[in-house]
Amino acid sequence: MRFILTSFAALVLVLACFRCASAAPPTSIGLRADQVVFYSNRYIVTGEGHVRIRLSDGTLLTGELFTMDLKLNRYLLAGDVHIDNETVHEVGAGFAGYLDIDRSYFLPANSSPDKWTYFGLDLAHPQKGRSQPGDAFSIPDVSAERPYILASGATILPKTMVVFSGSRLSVLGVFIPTQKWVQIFSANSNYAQNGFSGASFDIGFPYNGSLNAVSAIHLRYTGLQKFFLSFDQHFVWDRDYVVFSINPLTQGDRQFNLVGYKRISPAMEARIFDQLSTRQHGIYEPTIASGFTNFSSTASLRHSSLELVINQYNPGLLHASAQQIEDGTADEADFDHPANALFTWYGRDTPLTRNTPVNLRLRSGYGWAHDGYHCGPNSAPCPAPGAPDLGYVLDYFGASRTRVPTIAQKFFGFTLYSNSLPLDRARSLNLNLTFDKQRQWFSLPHFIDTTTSTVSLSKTYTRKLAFLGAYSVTELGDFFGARQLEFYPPDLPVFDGTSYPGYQAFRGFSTTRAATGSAVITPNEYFNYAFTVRRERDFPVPIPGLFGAAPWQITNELRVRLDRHILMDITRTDYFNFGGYGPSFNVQFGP
Amino acid sequence: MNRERVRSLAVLVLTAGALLAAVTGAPAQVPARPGEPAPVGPATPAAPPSIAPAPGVSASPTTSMPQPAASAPGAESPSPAASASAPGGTPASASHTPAALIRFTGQLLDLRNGYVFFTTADAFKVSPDLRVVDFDTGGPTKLVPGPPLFARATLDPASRSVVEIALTKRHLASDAAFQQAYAQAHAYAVAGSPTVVAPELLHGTRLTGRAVAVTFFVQVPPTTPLTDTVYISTDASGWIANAMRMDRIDALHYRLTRIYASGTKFAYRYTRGSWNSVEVGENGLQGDAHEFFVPEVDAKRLTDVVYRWSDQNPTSPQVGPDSIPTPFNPSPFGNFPSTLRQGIPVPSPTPRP
Repeated sequence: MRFILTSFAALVLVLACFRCASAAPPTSIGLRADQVVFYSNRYIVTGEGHVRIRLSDGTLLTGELFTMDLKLNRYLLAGDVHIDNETVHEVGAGFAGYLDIDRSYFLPANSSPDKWTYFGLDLAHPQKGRSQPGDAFSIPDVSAERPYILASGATILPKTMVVFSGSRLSVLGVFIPTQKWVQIFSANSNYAQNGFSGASFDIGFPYNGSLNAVSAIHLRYTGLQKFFLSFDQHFVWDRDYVVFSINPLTQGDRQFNLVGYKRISPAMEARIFDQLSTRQHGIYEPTIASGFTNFSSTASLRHSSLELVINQYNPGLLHASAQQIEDGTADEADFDHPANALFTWYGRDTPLTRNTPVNLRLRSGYGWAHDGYHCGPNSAPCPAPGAPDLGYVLDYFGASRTRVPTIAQKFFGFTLYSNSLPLDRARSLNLNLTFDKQRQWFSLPHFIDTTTSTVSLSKTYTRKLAFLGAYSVTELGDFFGARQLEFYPPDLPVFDGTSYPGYQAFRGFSTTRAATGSAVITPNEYFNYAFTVRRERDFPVPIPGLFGAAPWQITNELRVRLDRHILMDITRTDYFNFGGYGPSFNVQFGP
Repeated sequence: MNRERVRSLAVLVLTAGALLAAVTGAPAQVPARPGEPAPVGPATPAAPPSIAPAPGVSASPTTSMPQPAASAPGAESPSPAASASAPGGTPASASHTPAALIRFTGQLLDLRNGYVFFTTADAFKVSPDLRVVDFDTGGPTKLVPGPPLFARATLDPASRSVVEIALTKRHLASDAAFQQAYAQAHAYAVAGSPTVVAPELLHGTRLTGRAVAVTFFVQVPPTTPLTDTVYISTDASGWIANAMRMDRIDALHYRLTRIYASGTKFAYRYTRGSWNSVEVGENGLQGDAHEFFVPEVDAKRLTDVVYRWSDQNPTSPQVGPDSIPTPFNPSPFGNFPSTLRQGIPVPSPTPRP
């Protein structure tokens, strides 16, 4: 009897699940039509002429016109609509799918007109007469839009992407055949995670995709490498992602990058970044190979968070003979493998007192570093000419130059900052104060203090003009106590024919004073101009190309929207009194 | 007791009337008040809440109702005589006066099995001698009724059927007057089943796509460099990290105002120009993207807080494809000339390409 009851319960459960499954919205919509068009400005896909739609449960819908609003996540099939699957064969005037609310609406025309509602894809059980949204069968007006993609078919993965087949892409008004194109519109930003280093120009060609994966070839340009191709592969889930890239693909000096993120639990996450750098021709064995791995994990506590960061370096991954080392063609440092780790606790914002507009942020941590590099002719110099290489070293300490292969540190820091304090509400004049201090204690007998104090005044004129003026002082000190002169003795560096006598007074304590002023003008959403000037007075004085920042730095940034699709961003930064440094100039186009 | 008898008798009479009507083809409903058309089929409720701007459907009854002077192509002049002579005018049946004709415009879904369907989901019976004409000339047309064509339909209330459809590829505009007038044509829509309220559609706001000024206002960490720019990255711009530049208004706040149509929905994140410098939640974890939906209001202000940037780490080196890995270095002046440290080597490996 118990077996029968159990079997019956199991049968009911299976049937219920079967029903549940059939009532779910489609996970994909396969579209074929005489012409499929994608309007990027409206995120609308249309299909006209001999439209065939294959839903993920196998149901075939045919009609004359298809539209889908990818953002609203709803579609419409209109005109001579036929629904066919194993159990249902219906004819009607329109079929609309509202995926977000798991409903489908149908206007049957077999005999008398009616209005039917389906729960998901349960097409065998229409809810006759159930009221429908007033605009369920409305056809979006795209007459004023320009097509971005023309295609013969598309596979729509709701809320994620569209894979167009037989596609032609509009580039400056000309349709270029691409055969296949993946258009991602997901609200999941992990599809945009980047596995490449920077480039002046980058255009991606996502040529294949599925629910959790996108493959793309990129055409890139850098001033050093010129034009080249790169490849990246995204695997994306709800919160997790893995990105693999080869950059460049078509040149010998190559980087293989792997970026991964995993949300282990609602309160814990882990990341990994792995980089393999090689010099190789084609797919032949590399002549140079090095690697770097970074792992980090963060755990959320009740009013704080904990973070662990581990780095591992492998400068040389290839075998080198003793003769190479003897000849100096290989560097012993290439075979070293430094590692370090840092464990940090971050506190959350806490008001200093109940009635003061001042907040406090605390941080603290413990770090460890092990196995630095050998000294040698091609890396760090040995303590004295001809001195033996004693092995891995992170630092040489003291007059005896004691080798230090492992260093530990602990640190504590805090940030005190005020809310925006209105000095004059009528004139929108605000004052902000920030004070940040951190001390690092090392297993070697010294500690490093970093202190930054900032005061700023801001003023806004309507919503179109804003000014900011700030003054900031940063003090950095490396404290050795009585042995200070041993580590920071007077010196007179000479670089490029210029001597810097101020360094004779440098004892391991630097001060940076920076005054910053900026103005932002935004008359409308099509135009934006920002002007920033920064004046730095540092001790010791900066050495261009080696240490410190330019005394004067002026940045102009202009953003103009050229049309609905193209935004132009021009940035120029000029440096003054900094060894003849030329300006940096950047032009960027975006959507 | 007497009241129950009267009610039973009334039900009996109505039932008999309905049976008689079914046999003779006459309408089962009791005729409406003078001047109102008799509805066919169950009454359709008002359009339920929608999540997108409603489609353009307009109606123009040729009754004595005054019409706007500047009307859409589907509009008719107020006088019945003018209506009869209008382009594409319907040859009214001899048994009906031209004043009874109802003309309305809308976008077609289909013409099938003796019914014409509009994007309003309404179906109207078509006359066996339906005329399909060109909207502009009133003459023959090569257009085939179906989506996405627009049409002006002429409905004869006496026969409860559409007697003429004038087709055009042009978008026929609608306005409030036509929307109101469409209610009369709507009364002749055919539906086979009584209407059942769908609870899932009861809660919502009708969205018109009006322009809404949306202001993003974000508080950034106090450690945000003064010369840095904060951007909004959205799914609408393909998650480009520096899609929308924000204006700094004080040391802690950035602001951006954009105009969006009501009903617009998108997700966004704050960055400092790259995905290596993206916002981190108060709990130290990568949070979900902010979801945003533009409501039917004049203006909307969104206030967010960025607690940390992902690239701001007190002592660890920045990692990512763009960074050069640097082993731990306890010297705070890593770029100082080594002569300053009297031959103390500063570990600075040359990253391999």
